[in-house]
Amino acid sequence: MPTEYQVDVRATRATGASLARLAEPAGSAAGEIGGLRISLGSGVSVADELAAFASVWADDLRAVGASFEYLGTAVAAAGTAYESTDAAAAAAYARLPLRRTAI
Amino acid sequence: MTARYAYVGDDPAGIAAAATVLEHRARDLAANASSASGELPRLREAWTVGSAGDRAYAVATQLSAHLDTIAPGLRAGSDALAEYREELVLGCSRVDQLNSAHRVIAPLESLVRSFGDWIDESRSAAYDRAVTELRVAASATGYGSLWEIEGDYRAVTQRITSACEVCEAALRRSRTAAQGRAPGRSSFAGMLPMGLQTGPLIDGFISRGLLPPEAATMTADELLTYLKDHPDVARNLVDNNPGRGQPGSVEAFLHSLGQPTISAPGTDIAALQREQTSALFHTLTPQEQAVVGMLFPSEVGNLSGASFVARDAANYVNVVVAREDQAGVVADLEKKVADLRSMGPYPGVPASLIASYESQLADARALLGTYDRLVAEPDRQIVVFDAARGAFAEVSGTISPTTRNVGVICPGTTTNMGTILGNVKTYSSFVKAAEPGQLAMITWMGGGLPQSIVPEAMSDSYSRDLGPLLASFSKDVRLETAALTGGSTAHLTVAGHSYGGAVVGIAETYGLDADRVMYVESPGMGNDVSSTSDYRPVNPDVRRYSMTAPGDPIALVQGADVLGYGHGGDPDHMAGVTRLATGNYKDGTPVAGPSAHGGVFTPGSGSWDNMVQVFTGGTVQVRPPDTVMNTQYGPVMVPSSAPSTPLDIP
Repeated sequence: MPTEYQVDVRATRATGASLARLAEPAGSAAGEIGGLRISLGSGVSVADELAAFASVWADDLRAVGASFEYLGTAVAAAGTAYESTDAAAAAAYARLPLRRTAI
Repeated sequence: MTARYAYVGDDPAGIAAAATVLEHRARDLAANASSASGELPRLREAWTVGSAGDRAYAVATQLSAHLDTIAPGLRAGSDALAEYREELVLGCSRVDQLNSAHRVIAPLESLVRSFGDWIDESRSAAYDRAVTELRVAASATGYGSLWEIEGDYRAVTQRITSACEVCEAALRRSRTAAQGRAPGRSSFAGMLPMGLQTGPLIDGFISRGLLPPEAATMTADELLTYLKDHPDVARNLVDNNPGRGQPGSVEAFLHSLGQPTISAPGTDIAALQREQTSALFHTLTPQEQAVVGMLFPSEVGNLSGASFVARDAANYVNVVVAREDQAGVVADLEKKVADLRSMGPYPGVPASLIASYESQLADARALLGTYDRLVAEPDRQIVVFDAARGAFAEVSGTISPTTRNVGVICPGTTTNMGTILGNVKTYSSFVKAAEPGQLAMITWMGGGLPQSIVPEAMSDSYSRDLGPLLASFSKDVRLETAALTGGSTAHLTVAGHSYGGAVVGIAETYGLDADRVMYVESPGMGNDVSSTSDYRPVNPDVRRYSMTAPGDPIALVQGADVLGYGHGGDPDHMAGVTRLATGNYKDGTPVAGPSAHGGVFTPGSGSWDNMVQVFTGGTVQVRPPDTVMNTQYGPVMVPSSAPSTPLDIP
């Protein structure tokens, strides 16, 4: 297990939030492209190939959106976790001198 | 007045709209990619030391690199569509000119021709005037004859066809670069570790010991392979039921399906749950659907409304466990038979006992053979599976945006889990006969079928068990097809062969959802059914077809119906049912006699071709009505010698 950490928790949280925000454009593009359809033309048509094209790229964009959301949330959560751990430890140490004084 | 020449190809406005969407989205995503790459150094600077930071940076880098490829992929599609549109606009303009020229030239040319080859003196002035008018018109329009106009129209058609092919090729190249193993799915989605939206679910399973820690970083395909190689883990999942889960999670939803609900009187709970389930599954990526299926195989494998991707993944896990169980059954029987044989000729061990065990062993091995193949061939799409009930359904072909027709077919007597893959192979011939990607077939056996003609196939009990299940499954197929084809005008055909026809008939009394129904060598239209008014079709415009080969002994029981024996009215003579010809085999011999009961499925035969036409909505050959022959035993119906007549399926 690594024992060294160097984290700017505020910057980590901010970067995580920025990454998570990138999910929305990918998700909305997936929705619009996934719905691309044209009616069959006369004699020849690209309708079938366009539908297959739209289906694959929409799937790809959905996955990209989900990835950004998950990664961004996880990065932001990590920043918060470091901060919480530090705060919890600081609170624990802060109580020790008081006990000694009381004794 | 209708135009002489029709526009060729797609509507330019529709193509332009699609190109614009792709272009705008490509631009947005290029900006997105730029933002993502801008975040990379910030992420690195914020988290300079720590393994989680290293991992997060690596994932973000990979994601950003993939995002860079999307805008060019979409732009390739947009550019191809834009170029195609230009050709279409030019083509439309050219066709307009040709129609205009035709309107001018056609009557003048017709007038000139009306003079014939010999022109007498009295008409020569009129003729000269007509020729002059034609020449003037030719000068104005640029066309001296209809033949020239026809030639130009052919050239326009050829040019649009080429442009269409170029556009299709560009779209295909861009799609193929992004496409994964399954049609309609991207390779990037397939590579994702499943800990995305399903991450908390996976973490929970790991913490409960249902999955190993390494599952946290597996892709869906890797988890499937892992479960194949670890049937003990697969069994844990099969034995596990969805818990309450986090509010709003997939697990909580699956858990809620098993809970009592309060609803208004008359609410169709099954339909409501089917729609809710479908909506939920289709908000997930296909990879996530598969993961949910694998995590809850017992719940999802046959769940109405669950996506077929999820059901297939769930059933793969179910089959892995069934295979291990069946291997144990085979080993026990082999030991029993070996023990009995080793006792040699012994008064307490009659030969019939050994024969009985050997017969059981053969059946058990056949069943194990099916499971072995299903496990060895993970690309098969198993959308119903229940080892205990003998239930199975497999999709041949794929249901995708290009699908125009989906067929469901229920086989007949003697079919079971040990033999069903033979039926799948037979019915997949219809998929191969159709235009690529346009037909998907589902071989459906929702439970045990009769294994003997007498007495089992005489009874209605199997059809009464299976009919409601088939009616329900038809609604699942309709919903899933609509979800996968974007609202879909795909047509659904439900067919039954032999006893399967009786199952379809009972299903029709429970509300089958189909556009076409076909009874093939069927003993009847369902026990107690005397007319199609006994049915409750979801689609009131459903069309029904039947075929029975001359000389098939099934005809002896068609129409027989006494209490729980027999299978209702004769489909070949039922009002509202179109009787199809069975025609000849490829070698010219008629599809007739006892062997035709199964022979109707011989590829290339008239009967098989008629089935292809029903499944794909083409042109069927209708059998002429039988003729009456008077014999010493009374009047007998015999097949007419008149030719069959073609009928287009609307």
